[in-house]
Amino acid sequence: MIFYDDISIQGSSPVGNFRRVLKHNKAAMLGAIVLTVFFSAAVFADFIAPFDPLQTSLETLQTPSPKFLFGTDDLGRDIFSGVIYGARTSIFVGISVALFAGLIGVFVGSAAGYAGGVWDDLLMRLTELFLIPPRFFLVLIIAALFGSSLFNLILILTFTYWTTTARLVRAEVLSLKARPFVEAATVAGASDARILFHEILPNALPLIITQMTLMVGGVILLEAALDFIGIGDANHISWGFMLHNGQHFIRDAWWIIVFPSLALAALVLALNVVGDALNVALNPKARSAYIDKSV
Amino acid sequence: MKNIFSHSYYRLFVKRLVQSIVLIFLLIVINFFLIHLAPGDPVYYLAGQSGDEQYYQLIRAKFGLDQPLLTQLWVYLASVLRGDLGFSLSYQQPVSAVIFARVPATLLLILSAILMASVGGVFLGVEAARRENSFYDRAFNTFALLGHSVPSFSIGHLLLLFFALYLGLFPAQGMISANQDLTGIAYFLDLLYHLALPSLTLAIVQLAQIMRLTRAAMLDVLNENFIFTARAKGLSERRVLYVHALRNALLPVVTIIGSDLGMLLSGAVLIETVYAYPGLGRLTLEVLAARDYPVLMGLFLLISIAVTAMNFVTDIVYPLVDPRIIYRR
Repeated sequence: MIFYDDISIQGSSPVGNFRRVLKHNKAAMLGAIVLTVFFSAAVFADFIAPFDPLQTSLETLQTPSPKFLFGTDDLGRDIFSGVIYGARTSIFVGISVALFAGLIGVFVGSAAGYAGGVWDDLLMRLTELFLIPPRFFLVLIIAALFGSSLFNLILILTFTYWTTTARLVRAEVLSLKARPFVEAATVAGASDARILFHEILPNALPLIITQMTLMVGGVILLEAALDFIGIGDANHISWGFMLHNGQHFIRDAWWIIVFPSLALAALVLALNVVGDALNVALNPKARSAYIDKSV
Repeated sequence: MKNIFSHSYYRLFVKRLVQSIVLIFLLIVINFFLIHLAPGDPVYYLAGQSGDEQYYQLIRAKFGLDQPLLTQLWVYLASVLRGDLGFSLSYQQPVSAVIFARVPATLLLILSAILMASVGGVFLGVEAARRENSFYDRAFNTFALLGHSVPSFSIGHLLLLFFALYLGLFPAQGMISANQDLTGIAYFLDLLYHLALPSLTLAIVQLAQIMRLTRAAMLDVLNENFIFTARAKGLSERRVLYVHALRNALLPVVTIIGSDLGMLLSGAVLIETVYAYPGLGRLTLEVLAARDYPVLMGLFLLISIAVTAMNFVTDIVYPLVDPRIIYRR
């Protein structure tokens, strides 16, 4: 638990716990503020960004100035507007994938953990197979073969991420299933569905929420890496895409590289810190949790 | 080391070996289905996009593309197992030759990075655990957090901008200086000079993880009785930490170093792109641009097999280092 060793967090309300962690921890507070800024930028990009990020102009490779806060690239596109709209793409992909992969993972993981038997074995072998090829290469190869529109990318990333949640939820369901309160519910004659949805899953929820928050960060990094290497949707501006274009001009125009890089690092850093704080507030006994960084 | 010959170890060895072979077999099957599920004629993915009709006819006949799917799978499996991964049109060479020509450069990058990351990571981790909750500990932890957040290519770009372009201390790209025909010591030094930045970048990403693990493992071990005994015997603190405690804390760290080949390779691809370093990463970029699918599929398959093999080695070496593991199962 990185920053929290000296504070004890007690209390029964998760929201109260989270507030207390934020209050005691400047890093987590700062992280929450940074996240709010990025989210606002993503939502209100149309009002904040001074230019269309894909609109080329004659003012190429301009150094940062009051007109172009972060300078312009080789085609005269405004980097500041690109960074603002890039936040939208990153956050959109990150949240969509975490949501879809999280839901599939919870469904499959809890079914396997609760039902056990052949289905459980089958699921475990399948997820083990998914863990062999490095995630970056797996996504890269599928995107190269099947196309890499934004929609496709979200599908492919969901396809490769749901297994992580499934394994985690399965393990949690297995451990909760053995708890006395589940036994009590069984003895009281509750149906399987009631036990799963009313007894087990609500108790697994903190873990699922933390996991999904951290997944957003992992997905954002992976999506940026794909764009950076040249696989991605050129119709949507993204930080990785800006870095991909900018690396040829790194000798003359450092700003094309530095600003999108800093934005990416700041967003993922904030997600990591807030994810860790969430983890402390929701699962007080757990170890510190970080993004599963595949690139 | 007695347990090398023990029955349970032998059983573990055989079980893992069979599992690995099955996994490799499944990976080849997955590769096959990816080729056939992808939109368009599979011949593009087996031959590449720049061929002519005559060449495609040849490939269609070779892989039996007019036969039933199961027959095709059989033909594909047989050719991959023979070591035939196809022919690259953009390089005019067999795929395996194209790939293996790039392996040494990437291997050099990865091995030097692992060396730096494990030595540095273990040392920093021990020092952080020793001063738990001190200013240093917090500084180390902040560094670990940064390492877990900033992507490898951004670290690469920032180091490149600062050390190569701003300070001019290191070359910005390539593996050796062009047009200089160096030999012997001079060649070796030139190689190291070009390796420094890419290797450091890859090492930083790994270092954060190894450091954090070492710190956590050390904190666990430092509460054990044998540490109190060692201290009570009057041993120096350095000896207690680096001999008695570290030996036991190192075990989980060793597994991580072994099982991170996949992440190292992914990192290498991105970092090689940043530094124009001519390894597997550059190759990936080039074949993506040329739509040279046979090389791409070959790369994917070989990387998956390398990771499977590395997992196998880690699995069978671990009980040798830590005999407890066998009896826990």
